[in-house]
Amino acid sequence: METLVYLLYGMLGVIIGSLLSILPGLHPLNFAGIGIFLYLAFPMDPLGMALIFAGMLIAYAIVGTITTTFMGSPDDSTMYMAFPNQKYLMYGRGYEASVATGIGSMGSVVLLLMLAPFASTIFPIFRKLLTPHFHWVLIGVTVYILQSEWPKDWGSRAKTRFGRLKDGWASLSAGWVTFFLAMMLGFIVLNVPITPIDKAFQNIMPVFVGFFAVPWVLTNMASRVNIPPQTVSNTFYISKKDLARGTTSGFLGGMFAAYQPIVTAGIGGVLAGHSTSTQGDVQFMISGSAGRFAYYVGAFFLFWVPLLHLTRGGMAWITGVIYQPRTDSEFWLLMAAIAVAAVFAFMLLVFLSRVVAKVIAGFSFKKISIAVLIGIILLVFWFSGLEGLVILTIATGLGLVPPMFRTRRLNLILGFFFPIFLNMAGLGAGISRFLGVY
Amino acid sequence: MRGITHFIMGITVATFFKSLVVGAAMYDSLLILLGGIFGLLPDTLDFKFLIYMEKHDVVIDPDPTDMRPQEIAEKIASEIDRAGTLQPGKMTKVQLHTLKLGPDLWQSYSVYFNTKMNEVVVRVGPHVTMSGVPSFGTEPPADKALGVAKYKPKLIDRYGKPSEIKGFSGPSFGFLKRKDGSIEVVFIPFHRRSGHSLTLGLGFALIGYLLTMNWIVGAVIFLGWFMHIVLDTFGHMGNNLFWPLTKQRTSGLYLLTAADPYWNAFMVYSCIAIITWNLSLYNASVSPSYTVPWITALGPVLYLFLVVAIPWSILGMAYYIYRARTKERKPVELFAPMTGAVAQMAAEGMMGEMEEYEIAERPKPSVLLRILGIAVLVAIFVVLFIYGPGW
Repeated sequence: METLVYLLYGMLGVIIGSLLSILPGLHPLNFAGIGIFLYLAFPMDPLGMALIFAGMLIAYAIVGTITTTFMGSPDDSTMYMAFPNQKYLMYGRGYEASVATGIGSMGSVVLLLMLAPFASTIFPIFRKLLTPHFHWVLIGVTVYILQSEWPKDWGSRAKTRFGRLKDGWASLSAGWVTFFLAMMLGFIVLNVPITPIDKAFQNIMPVFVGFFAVPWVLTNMASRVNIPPQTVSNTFYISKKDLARGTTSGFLGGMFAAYQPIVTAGIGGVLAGHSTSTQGDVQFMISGSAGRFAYYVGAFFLFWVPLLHLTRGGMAWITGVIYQPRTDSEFWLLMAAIAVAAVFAFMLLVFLSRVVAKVIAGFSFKKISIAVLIGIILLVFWFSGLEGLVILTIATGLGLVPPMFRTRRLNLILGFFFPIFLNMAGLGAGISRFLGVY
Repeated sequence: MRGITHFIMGITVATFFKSLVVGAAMYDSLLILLGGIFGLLPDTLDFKFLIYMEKHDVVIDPDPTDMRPQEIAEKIASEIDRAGTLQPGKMTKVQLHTLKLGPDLWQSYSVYFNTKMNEVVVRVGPHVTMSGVPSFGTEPPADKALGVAKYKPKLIDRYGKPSEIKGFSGPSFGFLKRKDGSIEVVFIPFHRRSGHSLTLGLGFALIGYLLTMNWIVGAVIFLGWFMHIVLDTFGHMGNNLFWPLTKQRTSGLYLLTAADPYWNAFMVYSCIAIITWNLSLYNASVSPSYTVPWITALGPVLYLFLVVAIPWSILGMAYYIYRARTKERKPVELFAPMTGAVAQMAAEGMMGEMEEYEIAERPKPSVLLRILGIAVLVAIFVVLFIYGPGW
């Protein structure tokens, strides 16, 4: 009976998380802040509260994709699937895209459950071996992402070799500039307290929203298209190949990102996608959602793994303040809660996607985007004050560079966190002093 | 192989050097990354620099609103004929441009060299996305869908399949006059030449050594580069190993396909397993709390057998059975089926003779040469396993 009550806590978390996930621009970091607020407002059993947090994360990972698909406001973890999802929305197949992403998340749930019995053996090995090597692994990831971006000249028509070289390097140079400017912003935001002290834990929220959500919304506003009528079918088919490759690739990338500090789901997704040659829209949608689930829920899962208890991600940090999992039985209770809550969240996703698909047809994307933008600005102001809006504006300026010059948006996040990588390598402090931001 | 495979292979060979791993753990050294950087550098040079240095004799840039496949086919066929008049060893080059219609919408068309009929076949397809999903109703009218033009010389096409032009930059083809008078189709002629030569790798290694006066830096640079060349040689397209002494690239060993997800995933996984072994072995010199003694106690052979050979044999078998069972089955997609220009050629029976052609013409390297290729890879790792702890 007690177990059943705890599982219900997980489902309650899904409901709370779903309500919050519909608000575009919210990030799990905000969820963690809201979680603490909930705990202080309604003191309760810490284990139950921790399972509510788990449910909120699961809802964010699964139900939260609705905003990416139907409202076009992605975050760093959904950028990977934002293009195919929005493309299918414009084909009148937003519902199918939404469900496909849900299926990817469910695949990730299955793989997480399969991993669970071995987690306390595998992860401690990597923790032991990698602890003194995090700095070069993280800088290596950055180097690879920068080095592996290929020119997007779409076949330069320039007559001379230099002209073609210039065309090819236009997008690459923009990528490097994006990385550099994001790194400068990182040195400032991560070293100097800009947001009010009582909101300091939300200081990077405006950066993330500015990098990803606002530029996407602004681009949608400029596109001036209407959303076509959406087809809502009762059945559809996904090939086993797409399901297997998309889920495996996304899960591996997401778990790598969950384990490795600072690496986000988008970065993990690119690495795993390259390793397994992910291709095609369906695989990208499945892989993106599987990676997003593995990243957010996987990071929380690592906190509960016996003999590991690794704190990764904002929600695990906040949970650590109120509750410390200790036993195997608590770990397996979490796994049961994840399974039940994920199924519940998937059902909610299907239901809400049907509703949104039926309602949204004929809406002007511009009007939706304006509403979303106003919502985002209000949320950023609520969470991080006027100073947050200033950071949001700067980050939006940077976030507009990649779509304008067809370069990788990942450069933004890698650049922003690069000062932390440099700190790990013992180089950050000197640069911070040189820049006068310490 | 994919870029990440080359990058992590370079990192893997670098982790065999004990001084680099210990240096990274104790002094935050980043020298290990040289292996990865130079492991990926050959493709970086080719696709970020050398691609733009290529000089084209003919540039085909059709108007997407008025596709004329017959004209395209005739231009290509005429270049093949012109190549027939060149001196042996000389080449003509044709660049085919992609036709961008929107943020992710392209006019697709394909080019196929039908060597049985001495024909260049150009097929115009519908508008497609980068991943090949077509927009219905954009198929060309029948009189603007197909172009066929005859050429005279005997043509050798090692690829043997139609090339679809639909996204990113379009491909270029070289038509190389051979000593026997036949013409060889060289796909993207700028690729895997100077940028994939051992001589250039040696040059970089020498520069690295001279800058640091540390032979390990030079060795890591060269090994990262060398492993890229070795892995690429396993595919269909070879390399120009000793540029500028040699002029043309060799044929690959046909052991695997570069873009195959199974082989890429296998390589990346194996590299992670080897890095894990090396870190466990060398971290012991840093602190006992950073090592896993039971991994080291297994010894490299048993460790690799348990961690790499067994799981990948099972996966490989499952993959082989899956491929065999689904070979004849048409793919079923959640969304629109893939019906770009190449798929339409297949559906219309234009590629019916391809299999026969592949058997007759594709120059498979000898078994001995293939075994030698694998032996080189194994030998490198044996040397690294034995001598790495002393470096």
